[in-house]
Amino acid sequence: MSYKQKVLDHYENPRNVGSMDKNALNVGTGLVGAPECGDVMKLQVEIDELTGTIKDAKFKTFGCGSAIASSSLVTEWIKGKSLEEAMSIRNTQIVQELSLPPIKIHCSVLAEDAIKLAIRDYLNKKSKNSHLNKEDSKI
Amino acid sequence: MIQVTEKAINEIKRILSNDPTVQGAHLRVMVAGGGCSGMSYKLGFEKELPAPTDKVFEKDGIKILVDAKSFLYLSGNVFGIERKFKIDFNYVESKYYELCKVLHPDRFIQSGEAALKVAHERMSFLNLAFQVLKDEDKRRNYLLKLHGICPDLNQKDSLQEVPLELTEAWFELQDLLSENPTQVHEKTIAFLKSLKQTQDETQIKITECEENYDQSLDRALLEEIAKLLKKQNYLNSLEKDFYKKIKAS
Repeated sequence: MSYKQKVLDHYENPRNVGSMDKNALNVGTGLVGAPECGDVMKLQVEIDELTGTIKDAKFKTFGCGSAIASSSLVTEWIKGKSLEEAMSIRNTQIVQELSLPPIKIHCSVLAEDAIKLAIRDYLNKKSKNSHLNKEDSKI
Repeated sequence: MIQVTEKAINEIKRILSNDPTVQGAHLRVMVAGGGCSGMSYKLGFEKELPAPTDKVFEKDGIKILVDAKSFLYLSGNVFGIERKFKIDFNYVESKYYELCKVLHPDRFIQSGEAALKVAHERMSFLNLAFQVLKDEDKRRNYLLKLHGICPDLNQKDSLQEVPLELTEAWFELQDLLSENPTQVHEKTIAFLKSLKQTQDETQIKITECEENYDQSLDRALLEEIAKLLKKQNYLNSLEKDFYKKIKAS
């Protein structure tokens, strides 16, 4: 069976490929691996701290066409969204958009989990940092 | 062993006490040829003494008789061994050959078409059981399935079993490979080493859990094993991918 047009499009012209500084405070990184096939996906989000929205998103995926297309698609989707909106993206939406066959559903799960991990990573950093600031002010 | 539920015993008692013609009779259960899928159950009361080859089960004073051949199907435990990870395979093998001698379809050529068909089905059932017991992986999966635990690799929570450090190392290695394939030799060796080590550790943990289960029959251990299997599955696919990528570059 051949890949659907949308998958091919994302595979041949992936959007938002690249890396961000994972140590930057306003950047969250999500790294996930698929137990089914050894695919790995890294998704990073840059947060606009003033508005609490996702300013930019980048990904790098080593895996099959569907995994690349899923991650490419979600970087487009989450740009400009609030954290809550991005967190609410479900893998079924990705499956629908890309018409993924059942055997490739795990790729969409990977993308959903990558978003969540990336945002969680950002929130963790933020809360740790504000904690540190508080301690600083104590001194 | 076969299991007889409380409800079944009560029903048997009810029939026995209501019908004077079967008073004091035993219940015979058998699996016979015929029926829509080739086999059918037959139940009946009889007053004769059990034959020497019959298996006799007693519950609440009710005797249940099963002939040796039907017992093969009903017990679900053809070889009469305990359902544990470690089995005495020599015993199973000798039992298998013993059963083959008795049940081989060639012995039923004279017994008519229906009996021959049953003999064939019985033999393939026996062969399947033997194949499962022989193979360590199949045996493990069978045991887990018996307890309703399937190491389903498409489950969403499978992500939790992915070892994060290795995933990170794997990602970085591929990143390097795609950018600068000539300078990754050391990294490659280091990655393979930690992969192998994690695989070995996981295998040791699986074996430990199996040994503990055989002692305690604690269901939680089976769940732990299913988790570890998922992890091992991931590691194995990483290994396969690794060699594929290395060959390509």
